[in-house]
Amino acid sequence: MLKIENLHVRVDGKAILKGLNLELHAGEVAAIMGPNGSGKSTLSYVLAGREGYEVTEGRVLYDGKDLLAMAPEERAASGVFLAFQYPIEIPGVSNVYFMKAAVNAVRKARGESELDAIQFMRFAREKAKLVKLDDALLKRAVNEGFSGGEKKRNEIFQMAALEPRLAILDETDSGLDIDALRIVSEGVNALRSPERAMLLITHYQRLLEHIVPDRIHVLVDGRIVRSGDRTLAHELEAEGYAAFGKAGATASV
Amino acid sequence: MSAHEEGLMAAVPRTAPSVGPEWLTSLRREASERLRESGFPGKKHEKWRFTSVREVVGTSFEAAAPPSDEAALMRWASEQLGDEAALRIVLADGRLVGVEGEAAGVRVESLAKAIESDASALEGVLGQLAPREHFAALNAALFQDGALVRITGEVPTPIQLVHVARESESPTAAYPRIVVLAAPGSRATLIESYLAQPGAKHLTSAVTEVLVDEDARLEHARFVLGHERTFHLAYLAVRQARGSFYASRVVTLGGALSRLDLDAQLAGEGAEVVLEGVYHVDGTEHVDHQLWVEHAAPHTTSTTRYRGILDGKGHAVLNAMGIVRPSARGTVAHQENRNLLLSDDATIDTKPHLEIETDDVKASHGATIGAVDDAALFYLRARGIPEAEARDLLTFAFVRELVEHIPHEPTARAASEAVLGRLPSGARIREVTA
Repeated sequence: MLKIENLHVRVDGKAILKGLNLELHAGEVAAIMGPNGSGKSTLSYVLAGREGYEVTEGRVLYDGKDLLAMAPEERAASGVFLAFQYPIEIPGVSNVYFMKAAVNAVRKARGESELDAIQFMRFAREKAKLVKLDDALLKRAVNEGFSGGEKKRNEIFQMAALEPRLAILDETDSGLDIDALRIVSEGVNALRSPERAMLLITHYQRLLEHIVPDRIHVLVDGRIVRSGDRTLAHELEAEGYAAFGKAGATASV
Repeated sequence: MSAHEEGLMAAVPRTAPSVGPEWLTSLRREASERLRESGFPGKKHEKWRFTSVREVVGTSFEAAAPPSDEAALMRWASEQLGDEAALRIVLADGRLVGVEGEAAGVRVESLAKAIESDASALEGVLGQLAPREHFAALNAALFQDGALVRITGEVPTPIQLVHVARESESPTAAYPRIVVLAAPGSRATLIESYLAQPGAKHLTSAVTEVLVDEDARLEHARFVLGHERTFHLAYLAVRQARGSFYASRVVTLGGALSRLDLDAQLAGEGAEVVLEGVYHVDGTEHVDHQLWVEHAAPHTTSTTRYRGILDGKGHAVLNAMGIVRPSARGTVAHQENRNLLLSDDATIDTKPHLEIETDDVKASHGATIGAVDDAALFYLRARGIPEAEARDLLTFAFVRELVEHIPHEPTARAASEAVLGRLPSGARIREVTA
């Protein structure tokens, strides 16, 4: 579903990703673990299409198409979803309107009929249950005055509503207490499906105890330096990223 | 009599009509004289530095004829505001054409009639609160009618006052004059709307004078919807007595020139004023708000919050001045102006400032000018919302809160609709937010 080949990305003239290779299949849940500054967030933003990231080499294929040539909204319409590490507050736009605009934009782009206000409200309430997001939060302005946990739950609610094929979860565990982490993880696990791929981007292995990945990739200094199964997380926990050093070649276990 | 005169000055009479009491006749005579002496303002006037009235002054506007199609005008106003009003006063080209409905605690009548029958109620207010120069003097010299709104108690329903600039084939001028008297302890919501039918150039030179007596509470919305041939030059002068509360909530959308000079005087201890406003310019539109608040009594509070959207080659001016007199100890004064600049060719001149003559003051002022927030734009696009729509959604959101502060849902909705109608993807946003 997703194939990243030799991806080089610069931000403000500084090389961040330096030849990243990665493959992700439908139904697969992969984790990308790495220390601060290794390029994790850059990868998530590049995949979602944020401006300010200069791709100098390599390519990203999504269902065989050139993902990097697509506008962010086209990516979303074709099923790419990024759960933001720092969800944006948007005063003056209610969560319901925001998601109605988003869901209908995506449905329209897919040639599906749009949902009217009543249909959407029913749909939204159903999806909101998944992460225990109540009506009050649906009606408030997007993320405005939300706690850290509420923001992350809101991201997963949006993911549930948009039903992506490729979900990238950027540090979804950051800033969550244990209860919020459980709610968010349960929401994500409920969305696992054979048609859907997920990329969990995280610094700590804590999240991976709740959302167990099929595969783990270790990102250090802009490259995947190690890939393995879930046991790799424990190895990382025990030895730290330092053990993986800045070794160049990609290794597999 | 001098030779043939051209332009707006030709409309100013050399001899005032002797209608009503002597004080009114002399007020009008003085207004004409002052105007003929000092002329219309130019760029050398501090308050007119960024706003040119050359086109207005150079146009020979005809005085509007008294409307004869009252019923049609009432219907038109109702269609524009899209609701059944409990109490609606409709004026067209400066004259009252009808009053629909009634409400407890308020009396409404034509200003011309009030002058005939009970001018004493107007003495000390009419012509006393508004400035005596420029276009306020023009209105004083030329107004034929308008409305007197006497609020005596708690008015359970919003009082709607609609002024229609009628369709015409040649340049036409109207001079509506509104006097609002809010009696001690009264409470009311007044919605003043200025709408224009399509047509030739139209000048509305309006003056509204508002007296808010002790412990009275008045919510006053003002909705101005212009088009490319409307010139709207208005004064709103407010005087507040002890313990009163007054809120002005302005929405000014477009117009070749739409200007409001708002003077609020906090004359009594503990009086509070809120001045909120939203403006939008596009094309070559020009919108100007001059907001002067004078704290002339102890423990008075003012809050000024204006937000503007600037697009195309539009030009907006905001000049907020807070004066705190030596007697006004314990004053709280805040001014904020935020602007969303959507085009490189649009201009904003903003100047919030305070002149403080006492030490015992809590005050702040600030202005910002910025583009659409990139992070928010990306967030919306990453959720599938196309860029143009995402921009308009954020643009609308920028002013939405203040528009919704209009304390009358149908007017707030009409104002929101009007804002959306001016945005390229507004129709789509209306659809998704319905």
